Amino acid sequence: MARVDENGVEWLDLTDPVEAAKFDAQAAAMEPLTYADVVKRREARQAKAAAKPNGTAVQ
Amino acid sequence: MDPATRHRTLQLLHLADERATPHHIPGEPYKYKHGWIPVILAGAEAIATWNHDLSDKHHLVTAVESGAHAAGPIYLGDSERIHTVLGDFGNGAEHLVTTHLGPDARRNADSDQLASELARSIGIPAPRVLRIAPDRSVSDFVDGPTWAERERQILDDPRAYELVFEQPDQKWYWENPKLAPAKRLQLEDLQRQRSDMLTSDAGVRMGVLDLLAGIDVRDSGTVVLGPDGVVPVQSEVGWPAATAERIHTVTEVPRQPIPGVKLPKGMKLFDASHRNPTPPGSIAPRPTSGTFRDGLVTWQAFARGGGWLDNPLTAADITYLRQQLDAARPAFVARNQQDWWQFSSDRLDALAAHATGTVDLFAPTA
Repeated sequence: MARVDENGVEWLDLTDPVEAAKFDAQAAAMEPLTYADVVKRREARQAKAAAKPNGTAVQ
Repeated sequence: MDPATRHRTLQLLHLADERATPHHIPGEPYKYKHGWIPVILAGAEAIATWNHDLSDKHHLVTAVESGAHAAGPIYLGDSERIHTVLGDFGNGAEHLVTTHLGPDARRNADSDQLASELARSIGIPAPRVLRIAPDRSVSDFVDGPTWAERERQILDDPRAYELVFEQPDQKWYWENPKLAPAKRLQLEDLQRQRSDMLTSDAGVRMGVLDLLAGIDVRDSGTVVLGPDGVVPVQSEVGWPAATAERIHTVTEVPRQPIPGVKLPKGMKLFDASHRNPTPPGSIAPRPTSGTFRDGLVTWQAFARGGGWLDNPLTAADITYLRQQLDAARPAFVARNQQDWWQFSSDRLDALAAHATGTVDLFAPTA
């Protein structure tokens, strides 16, 4: 079953076919990523985490 | 549950699953053909059923259990056959989620899973694959650009792949006499980097893996330039049935008139000779990642069942590969793909007959 965390982010259970299909639908609506995009994205997450007082990552 | 009951239960689940393999349509729920038993395994049950050994995959299990959402699709290999999506997982990890499409989805997922097992068993740092459904898996994200991305970068052209690879009835890109000098320099750079990749130790190991797994043509999207050398990533279809068609398009097109066969007016024989990439014993001059096995077998003779070249494996390498392949057999048995294991075993025997190396490539140093 999908769970929703304290930030309101829904985490899907990929072993459940219905939720996995929802995951596919999310991906289909997105732009393809290159490796450079992945690196940029990771750096942005790290910068965001560093900006938080307790250093925890934010999705 | 006692072992005998557990074994019988798994047999029944396997049987039910054989009859319930879904044909997944992206964006829609699973559908089943009339008369199929809609058995859906989920959670820990699915993971236990689809994976023979979880000992090096606990991090993937933890990630799957924490839930995921999509970060975006990534092209790794043939996008008509697979969808690969980078996923953010609830435990903070990022992994790839691969869905195999079409009527061969389950077979291709088996191939993906077993190629990873085989690679890792012989010391190649391929991503670990956790199967979570008949057609779906979660795997490690290998840090680095694919060779397809590197090709685009070097040629400074988003159409690099199409220009250098997908021209079945035209001359290669670099054979164009009107090519600008700057572009020709870029191509030379591409060829040099490609040659370095293929002749590196990691490249030769990848060639051996591709031979053992029956991956005859490797898409440049399934090669990642990782921090410690080139790494095979999932998504290439291995073992005989799926590769035959692709070899056929390149190697078995008749180039000479066939006695007694008259071609219809206006039809010409397709001359594929410019696509014969491999002078014996050398690395192919094609600027794609193409075939890592090029230094191990000759292209055309291999398609006819021969073509084995002397290779740089040592006797110790062969002993090690045999030992590791034997140890990997239970993974093949668990997927009911014993014939694939036999195929790999036969190819290892052929490699052993031509092993003339003096420096170990696989065997761990004492």
